[in-house]
Amino acid sequence: MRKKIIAIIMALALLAALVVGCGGQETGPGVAEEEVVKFGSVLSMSGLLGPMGIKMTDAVKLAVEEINAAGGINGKQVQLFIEDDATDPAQCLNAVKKLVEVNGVQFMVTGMSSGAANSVGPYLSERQVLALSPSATSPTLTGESWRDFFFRTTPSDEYQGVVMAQLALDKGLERLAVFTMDNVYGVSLGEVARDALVEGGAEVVGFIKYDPAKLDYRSELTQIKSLNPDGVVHVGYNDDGVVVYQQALELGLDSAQWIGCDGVYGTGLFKTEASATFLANAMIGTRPGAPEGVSEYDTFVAAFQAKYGSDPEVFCDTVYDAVKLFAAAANHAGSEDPAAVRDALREIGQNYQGASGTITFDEGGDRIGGLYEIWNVIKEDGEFKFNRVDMITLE
Amino acid sequence: MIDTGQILVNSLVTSSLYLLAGTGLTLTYGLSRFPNFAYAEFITIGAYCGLFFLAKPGGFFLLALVLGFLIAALVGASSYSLVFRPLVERKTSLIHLMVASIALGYVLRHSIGEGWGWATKSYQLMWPVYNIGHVRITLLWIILIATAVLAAVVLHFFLTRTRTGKAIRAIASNPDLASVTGINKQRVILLTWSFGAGLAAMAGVFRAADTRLSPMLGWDILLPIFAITMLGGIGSFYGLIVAALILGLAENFGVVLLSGIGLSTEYRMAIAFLILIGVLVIRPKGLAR
Repeated sequence: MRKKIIAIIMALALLAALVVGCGGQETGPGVAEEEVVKFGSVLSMSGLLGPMGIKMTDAVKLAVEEINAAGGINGKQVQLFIEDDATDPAQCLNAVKKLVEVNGVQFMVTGMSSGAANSVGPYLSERQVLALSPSATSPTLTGESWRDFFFRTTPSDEYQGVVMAQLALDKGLERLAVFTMDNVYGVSLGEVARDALVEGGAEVVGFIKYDPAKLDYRSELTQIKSLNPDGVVHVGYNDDGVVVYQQALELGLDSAQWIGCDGVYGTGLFKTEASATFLANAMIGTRPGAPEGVSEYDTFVAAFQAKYGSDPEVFCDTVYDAVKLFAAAANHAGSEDPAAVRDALREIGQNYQGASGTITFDEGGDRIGGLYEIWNVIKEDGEFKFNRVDMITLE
Repeated sequence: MIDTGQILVNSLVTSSLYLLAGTGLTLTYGLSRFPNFAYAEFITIGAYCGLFFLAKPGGFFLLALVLGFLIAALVGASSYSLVFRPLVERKTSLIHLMVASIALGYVLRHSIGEGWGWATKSYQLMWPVYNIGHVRITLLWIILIATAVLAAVVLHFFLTRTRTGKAIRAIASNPDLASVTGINKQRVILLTWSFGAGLAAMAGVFRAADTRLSPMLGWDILLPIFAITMLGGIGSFYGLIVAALILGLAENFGVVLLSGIGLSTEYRMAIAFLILIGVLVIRPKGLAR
């Protein structure tokens, strides 16, 4: 009797494991296999980038819905496969492999972080799977051998770092510390900003790299305070940002001017009053921005608000554009062969009017030029919110 | 340039969190003699229980600590009776118990993730900051340091001066002999597991107040907590205090050193563990023995 019960429990556990193993969500009409175009989305819906990635995935769903409503791709409906990489490059590769090998997906948006892009790029190129990254911004990705099947709808931080430095110089800051998370994105953006600062005549008194998972930054911040800078250039994400700003406020570091970036833009930073207060006191930042008065952006924002009841945030527009660009390219190619779609993408991706502005790819699959928003945080009627200060265009 | 006063305070904060979590671990480890990796989830459960009071501004921190302690105590006691006791009674090996604890940890962690969501959350608390000279310290840090030291000292006296405390030590050194002398073994073990998990939960509430909540909260800090328990000598509270201080100081002064030479401060743990290995080479059974 007892053995039987154990056997039943084990069988149930095995079944449960199988169900969990196939946990990827699949949305879209349940039509027969050959009639759909499979499209994957592997972004970070948990972990450090979770708050950002959940909203971006919403934008992907919106784009796919609109494509299907407009007749789909080459007369076929798009079936969306959503996976979560948990902000872990290794997990990202697993999820991408699962979509490609198990589900037969040949097109996707993935590589949300530069680390994840590095991890999945070679595999995607080898399997000839066409991928677009909406948000991997590291300059180090430019010119990699696997970039033949990997496009970026966001400009490289080669541009953003310069904007951050210029912002600091325009504010009249002379002694700056760079405080950056130790990953591909953080270090490369921090280095671009540092070099641009030095070139602009400012003194960089410290360059501190930190572990975004440690969440105990008091001593790093104390060191910055002892260096007595008048400005701090910070590269982080929403998740560690909340803790960095909380602890920086506690240590009185809001007396310096902080310069932030796209990674620390987002309502995830308003989760605690301490973090929000710090931002309102001390922060001004940059992020890839959409041009004002562009009808594509307004249409996108209106559709996003109508569907989700909230505003899209950073990289929602670039991921939306990535999905739409793919659909346009596949329709243009009139086929679903990844290489043909890739070639069409290079053609379509010249002066393409998207929600994030005009997109033009160079031969390496990078988006040329950049339009950057300068933002700060204000408190209005007791509510904290991000506020656009200025727009800067780089050619 | 180095602000020694502030770095010392920072070290104390780091140490106290490890110490508070370490007291609970050394208590149960000392008694049951196997490493319980699900201890990480006792920490996490405490943090999430705190949300009941602290998800909105104006909540009572003390209530969060108490509720966290009680719920985690219940989880700790049930974990022992449902998972570990049947294994211990069949005289399973250390490895089996360890693997079972890892499995239990997974179940608890993912249940927390499903229940509360994987996205991070935060307590809505603003702590007053005091200036002592140029050193800054918040009320939260003061409460944390005081609680951790108090917990370790009280437990030390509990174990050496009270009947129940002596019973725990008797079971730890010789379970069979302890039973013969009329100690209710199961009751004492359950009590210890409840108390250990409760202390873990309190550490979780502090960690969450200092940072933010995620289902990985406990797991992220489990390694240093195990490290100080080993370094202090399992079951020794004074050893634990010294070990927590060593690790906290090594980590925070490590940051000064690392940022000075341009390395990532991620290596702070490496520095702390190098010291740990060094000490264990000289004193393999920990500082206390």
